Amino acid sequence: MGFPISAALLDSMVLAIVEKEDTYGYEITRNLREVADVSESTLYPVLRRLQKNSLLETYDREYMGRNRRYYRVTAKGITALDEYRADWKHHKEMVDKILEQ
Amino acid sequence: MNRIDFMRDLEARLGALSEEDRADALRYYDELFDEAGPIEEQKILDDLGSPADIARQILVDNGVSPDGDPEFMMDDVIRKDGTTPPPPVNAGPIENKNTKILLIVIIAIVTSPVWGGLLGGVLGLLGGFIGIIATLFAVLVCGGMALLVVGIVRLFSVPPLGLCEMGAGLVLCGIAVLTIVPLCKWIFGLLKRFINWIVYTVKKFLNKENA
Repeated sequence: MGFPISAALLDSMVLAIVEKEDTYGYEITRNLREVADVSESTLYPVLRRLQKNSLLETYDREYMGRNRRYYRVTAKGITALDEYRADWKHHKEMVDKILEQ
Repeated sequence: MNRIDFMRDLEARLGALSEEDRADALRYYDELFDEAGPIEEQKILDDLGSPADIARQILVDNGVSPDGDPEFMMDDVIRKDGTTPPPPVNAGPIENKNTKILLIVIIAIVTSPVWGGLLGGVLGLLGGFIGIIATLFAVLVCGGMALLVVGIVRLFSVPPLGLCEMGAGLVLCGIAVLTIVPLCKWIFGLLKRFINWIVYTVKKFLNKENA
């Protein structure tokens, strides 16, 4: 992928993935990797930031004899995601205006 | 380097963090190895890169300078001794918003002779312009029509002169029609811009007051 992914874009993609279904770190990275070149170490700061800003919250669920940490979007996170979606749509239209003329 | 080495190295480098932040980070990376499984362990290690880089990023994210705190900050928001500098002194007392609006209304009323006169002057000027244009139009059209009629009458007595007069009359009417449309557009455009400017100025003024 030739375009760098900004922190805001990464935040919004992670929020969107978790919004669809509560999930865990490894799975989120796997999802992101389908569209972008991100490593496991890229994701941790993103998750931590979203968590500290109360956009995501965590809970543990047992899986194969150990605890897996699941992420869930908060109400604040859903509001933020809506805003990100609107911003992204606007951004995309602006760029398309030039690219597709 | 294997998983154990990686985790030990990372933990050692996160010493400056709070217990909770450190545990959270270690937990995330530990879980990653669990998810990937022992077969994928080496691949994960390759993907992750050095614990030093990862630790550095985590420290920065948590507001810890990996290379130690600088002696002086440019903006000096946080001093070395932990105290914060006093907030900048406000230039004047903060007025009540309602008092401000009342003040604006009073000022507007008191100064009304001045801006009222100005506004009247501008409107008068505009009216004058419209009057001039209307007169010009009327003169051109009336003159043209009169010449046309005279020309038609004269056509029967002195045909060449009659034709000339008719032609001149038509030319005058043509000029009137051709000039009136752009002139009107120009005048109305000016008027619109003037009104927009007043609205914009008032809005800006009110916004500034509310800020």
